[in-house]
Amino acid sequence: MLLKTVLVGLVALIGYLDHPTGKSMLQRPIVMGPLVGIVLGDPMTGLAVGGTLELAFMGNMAIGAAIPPEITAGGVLGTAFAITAGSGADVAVALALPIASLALLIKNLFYLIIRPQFMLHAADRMSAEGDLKGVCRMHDLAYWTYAICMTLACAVSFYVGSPVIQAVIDAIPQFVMDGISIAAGILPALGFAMLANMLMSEKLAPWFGIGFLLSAYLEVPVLGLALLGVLVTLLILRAEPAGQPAVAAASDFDEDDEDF
Amino acid sequence: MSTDTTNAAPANDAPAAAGEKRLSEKELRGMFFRSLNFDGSFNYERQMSLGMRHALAPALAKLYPNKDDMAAALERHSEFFNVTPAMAPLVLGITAAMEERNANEDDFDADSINAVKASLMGPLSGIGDSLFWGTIRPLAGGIAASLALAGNIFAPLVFLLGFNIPNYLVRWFGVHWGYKMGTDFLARAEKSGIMQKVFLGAAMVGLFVIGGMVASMVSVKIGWTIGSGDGAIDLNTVLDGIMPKMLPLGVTLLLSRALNKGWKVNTLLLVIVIASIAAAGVGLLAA
Repeated sequence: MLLKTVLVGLVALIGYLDHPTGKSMLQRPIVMGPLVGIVLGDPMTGLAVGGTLELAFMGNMAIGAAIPPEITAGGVLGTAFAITAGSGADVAVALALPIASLALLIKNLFYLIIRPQFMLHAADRMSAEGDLKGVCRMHDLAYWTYAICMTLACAVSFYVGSPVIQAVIDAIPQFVMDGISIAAGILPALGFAMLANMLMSEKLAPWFGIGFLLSAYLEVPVLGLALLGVLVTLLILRAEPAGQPAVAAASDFDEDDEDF
Repeated sequence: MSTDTTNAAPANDAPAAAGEKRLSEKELRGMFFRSLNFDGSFNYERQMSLGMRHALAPALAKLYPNKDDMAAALERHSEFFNVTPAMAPLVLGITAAMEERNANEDDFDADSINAVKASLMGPLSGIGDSLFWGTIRPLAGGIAASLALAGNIFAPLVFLLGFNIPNYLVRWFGVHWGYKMGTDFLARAEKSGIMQKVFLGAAMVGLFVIGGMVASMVSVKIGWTIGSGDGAIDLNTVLDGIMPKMLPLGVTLLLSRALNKGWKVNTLLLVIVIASIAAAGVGLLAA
């Protein structure tokens, strides 16, 4: 158990290395799920859970200053608990949602209090003195304190939680578990709605429709759709003389509050 | 991506005048590597301002050996800053080019540096968000998730490569491009229409694939039937006969409307979970 705890902690740490590796998306469930599966001896369940959670959290993204639930902890612990309880993806979704919301509280504590009060203000004082090295140290400190805190929180939660999680899962009525399974099927729609709203304009709405119809009627897989989309887009962009479409397109994108 | 950005080593073509401080490939590379952790110190007070100072450090160290100049530069970059992380190196390149001029020209207006930085935030975040969060990540995530659900162990690798090859390319060329073009960047980009093309192209591909994923990855099934026993009519078959995947489309459009009406994402998340449990309780929906 202790070894497993350390390994789950290590996986979480890899997830929190998302930032220094260039916001590389290491934290996403599709990466964390299989890694947790490997260290807990069930890579295939980890993979399936990772795929399901990735879809359920499709819209989980930080755009501008809006901070979504903390997906690293949610994904790692949701997967780990589901595997130790001998359950599958539905249980992982049921656990990941509340865990990600709780972990967001710690994250907010850092964003709201710890980083501004300690690192940022110290860096401001050092800036006034021209202490470049000190400022850089504060940046690193702001990152590492967070990464280590969250890693430890994941490891401790796994150690403490594993024995009780089976009882918790057993205590949940069947219709609630069914409801979570249904929610797992619907949640990707929230992500797609967010993404569509971000990109949508009246002029571009048919693209969404064509993609939908190709998939609904002809069942073209995602990769096929992506390649097709890139080629058709290239054709259309090539057909327009350079510099000309810019004006029309730009005015289109201003209306981002448009319904479709 | 144009090839002439790769040999930016001595950066500008004009030979440096005596005593002039010029940034080299070494500083640009330093900024590239430090830009990776650009939002590592993100906070609600000034967001990426500390990350900005950390990432600019190689350039500032070279340009301002004098403590007072360094202090002025660091305080200048203490201002609020936010941009899609992958676009940060482009901003760093442009900023470094301006800092270089500031270090060499007596009459350079240092305030213009922050004005340019502030003017870059909006357009670059717009293009970066739609390219990376709106298109590349959902695309890589959707493809990888379908591989994972089919039991393909390469799913995580496909995801990471699919996201990070564009991510690292945009970062690497961004810092070089930004430095080379400096303040001309926005003007040139606007003139060539390249930004709008990328923006438009990303939105087209993104919407196309997202539309497809609504059909293949959202699942809503009615649990109720009309009649019972062998003669029961499965409503799902009836609906699919009208148009396949009608319910996933309807739910997505409904959620999109709710978001447009100002509903918070986390509220909708909770609504979905509670409504699903209620629907499971009365049997309206099935898993």
